[in-house]
Amino acid sequence: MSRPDSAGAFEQLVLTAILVLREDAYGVTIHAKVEDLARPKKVSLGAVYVTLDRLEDKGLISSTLSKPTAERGGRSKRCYRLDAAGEAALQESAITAKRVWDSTMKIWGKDWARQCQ
Amino acid sequence: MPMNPPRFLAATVKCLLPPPARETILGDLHERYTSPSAYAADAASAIAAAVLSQLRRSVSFSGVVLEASVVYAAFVASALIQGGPLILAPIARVTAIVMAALLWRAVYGSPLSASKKDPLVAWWKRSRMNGSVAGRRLCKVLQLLSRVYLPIYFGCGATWCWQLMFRNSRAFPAIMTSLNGVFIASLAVALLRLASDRARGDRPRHAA
Repeated sequence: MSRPDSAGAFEQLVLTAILVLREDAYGVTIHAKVEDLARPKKVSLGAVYVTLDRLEDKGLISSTLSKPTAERGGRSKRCYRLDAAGEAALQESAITAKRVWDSTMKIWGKDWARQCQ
Repeated sequence: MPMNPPRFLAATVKCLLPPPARETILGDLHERYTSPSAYAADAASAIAAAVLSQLRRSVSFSGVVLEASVVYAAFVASALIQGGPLILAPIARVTAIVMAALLWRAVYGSPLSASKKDPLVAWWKRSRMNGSVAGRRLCKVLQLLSRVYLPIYFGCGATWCWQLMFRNSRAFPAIMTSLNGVFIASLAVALLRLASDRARGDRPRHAA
């Protein structure tokens, strides 16, 4: 069973997207970034919303409503930011991913690593 | 020129989205709009996600099972009080439809609040019982009752109409049994929710 402050694979993608997007992290941009990180897999908009709500309930991210804009039909955005627990969870995941990367590199070599780029 | 989603499609999506997520998801869908078919696909996925999230946030699995048991027991008790035939299968069917109505209310209903605009809260503020613990509890039970009574009544009514149209109407508990059942079930569910809110330290969890 996972710890409440740990993040699953898809949650790591969403947390990374929020980290990269900084002030501009809201539904549409987060979905685009997650799709970019998860390529060639397709990611549905709904999967991103469910994960954002779950991360918020876990206390890893928090959200605020922005002012309404014309390009959104006069509706506001829900902007997300990483909380301290979210940053810690993402750092923990990144360290684990680095270990996995180093171990696989030793076995499969640099040619495989170049193909991954 | 920026493209806008068709009004009918946007209005339908607005109706289907739970209120807390409505504003932001409609904005996101509007911003991503390219064609009606892409909008519909995005909206279907977003609505399903928003409903699931709202259900997860407002009700728990054990709470739903407990409430279903209470509603079932209330209808059985009302059948016994009425002295009519105790047919358990139709009561189970009514319970299932009533639970669906309560879950619908949990997703789409307004959350329980201590707003002064709420007529029950306004009545309690004016009443002599204001400030007393018993008065506060009574007000909360009435507030909870007002939120569960209509979905339970609607669930019973829907089952009754369905039975009248498609099945033998005698299979459904007698009308007085169902009316008594609505009241007993509403009171029981309201008290159950009050107890579970108290156990969590008076933080209301149920949106219904």
